[in-house]
Amino acid sequence: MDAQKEQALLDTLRRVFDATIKDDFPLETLEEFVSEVVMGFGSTADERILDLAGFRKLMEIQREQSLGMNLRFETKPIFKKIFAQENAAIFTHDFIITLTIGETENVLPLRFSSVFEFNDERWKLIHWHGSQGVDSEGDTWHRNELIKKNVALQKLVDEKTSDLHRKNAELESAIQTLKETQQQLIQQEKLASLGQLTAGIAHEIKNPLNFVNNFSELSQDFISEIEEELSKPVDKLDVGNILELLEDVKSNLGKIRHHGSRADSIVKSMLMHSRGGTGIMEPTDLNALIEEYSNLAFHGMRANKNPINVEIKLDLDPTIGLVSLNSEDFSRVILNLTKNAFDAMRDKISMVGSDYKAKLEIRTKHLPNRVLIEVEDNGPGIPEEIRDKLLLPFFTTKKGTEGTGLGLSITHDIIKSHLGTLEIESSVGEFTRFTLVLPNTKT
Amino acid sequence: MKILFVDDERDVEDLFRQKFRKEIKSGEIELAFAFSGKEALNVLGDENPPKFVYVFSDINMPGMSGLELLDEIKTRFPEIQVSMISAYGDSENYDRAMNSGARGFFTKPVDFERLKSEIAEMVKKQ
Repeated sequence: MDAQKEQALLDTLRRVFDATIKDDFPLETLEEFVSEVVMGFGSTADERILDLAGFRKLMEIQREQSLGMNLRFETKPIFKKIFAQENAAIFTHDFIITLTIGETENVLPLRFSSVFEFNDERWKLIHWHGSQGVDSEGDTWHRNELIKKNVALQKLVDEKTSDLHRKNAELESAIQTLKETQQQLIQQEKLASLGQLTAGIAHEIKNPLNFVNNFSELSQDFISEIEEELSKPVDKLDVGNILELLEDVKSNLGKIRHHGSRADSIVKSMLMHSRGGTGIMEPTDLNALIEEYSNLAFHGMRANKNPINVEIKLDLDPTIGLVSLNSEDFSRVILNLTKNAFDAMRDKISMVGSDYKAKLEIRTKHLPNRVLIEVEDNGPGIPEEIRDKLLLPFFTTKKGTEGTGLGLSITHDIIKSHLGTLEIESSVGEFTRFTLVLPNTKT
Repeated sequence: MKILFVDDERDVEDLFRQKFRKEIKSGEIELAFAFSGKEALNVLGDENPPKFVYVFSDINMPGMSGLELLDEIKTRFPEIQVSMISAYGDSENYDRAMNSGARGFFTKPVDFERLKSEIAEMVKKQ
């Protein structure tokens, strides 16, 4: 080949390298040294070029992506062959590109083959192939590389899995803590309501105990009197008086027994109330439970700060029979609802004065397979806008530390656990009515 | 001398009748019982002027409280003496009763000796 033609070939090769790397290369000159039907594979999967337009586009994209990077390159010839008739040539190079991104230098070692065709007195690139060797040696079928990749993937999966396990454990322990806190709050609320009740309970125990003491003391006196009477001579005996005294003693013993068991049942229900939630559902005299707990709540309120006068009207339907209840839990429902009513009516008294007569009505009513319980007060009522918030935990309208905001939320939970429903009706300034419906299959 | 006891506990009647057995038998006193403030006012209002001299009332009762009853009696029958009997001997109740014209204040459990001498003193005055 003559020297001029060979120089032209080398110039064309250099222009190909320059066009690839140099960002100031005039791309409009590409057609001078690249064939219209150039075909080439780049080092990435999408780099499949089928014509000059595709080649130009690739160059433009490369230029765009290399913005801000400092690119250098060196080429080392590996192989060169000029074909017969000197109309085609093939070159193979190591094409080592150094990219500086920020402070870091990265080396991209490419292997580059190029084929040139001599046509119309010009050398033009007709085919090229650039690729990067994978990071494995002597591994024709990429077996080791695949294994390496799998190991790396497995490692990543393991890391993520253990990450998930750890996070899962953290979440579980957080849920556990929440559950414990919730239990503590419920227990605290129970103790708080027991505290409010203490005075009522003390009153309720003291009353029967006073009767026990008084009636036994009287009975002793009467027995002494009978003995005195009996010591008289037979003809002076007042048998009528003796029989009268004996009758009183007998009746007193019955009363002692009655009041003793009354105190006993109060202590029992107090213990039941403070115990942890182990109560079971059993057929319960719901009317008696309502009587007992509304009375305890009333005396508790009377014995605490700011007692108010309330007319309590119980309208209890005797035909409801025994209702399947967890009486420990359900007593809290009655306590909470009556206590809320007392608090609301106290507020109304301080608003409208003593002309207002506070009245609490509790009704039970037998419905087919169900029992209806209504707790209604003629207090200030509940404004519409807060009515649907009432059952939310920690929602309270009471000032400072007077309310925990848990009373109605727990009440609602207990009713739900009895498969019952709770509805609230109210008219501001007139009344508030809590309506409970429980399933009741009479046995 | 007619005395009215007001308490929502029904067994109070038997208790007081037995405690004052002798006084009742001798005709010294006559006891009546009412189980709510409303009932007490009905009993007192039955006769005009009422023959009752003395009313002993519990404070904590459903419906009308003993203190409200005290006010009612003092307005309608100012000549009747009223004393309170309460399980809650707090100063608030005591002060309110005394300011409303109560004659005395007894706490539960009732000290019957004190109650008897109070009644005896009243009988003497009659």
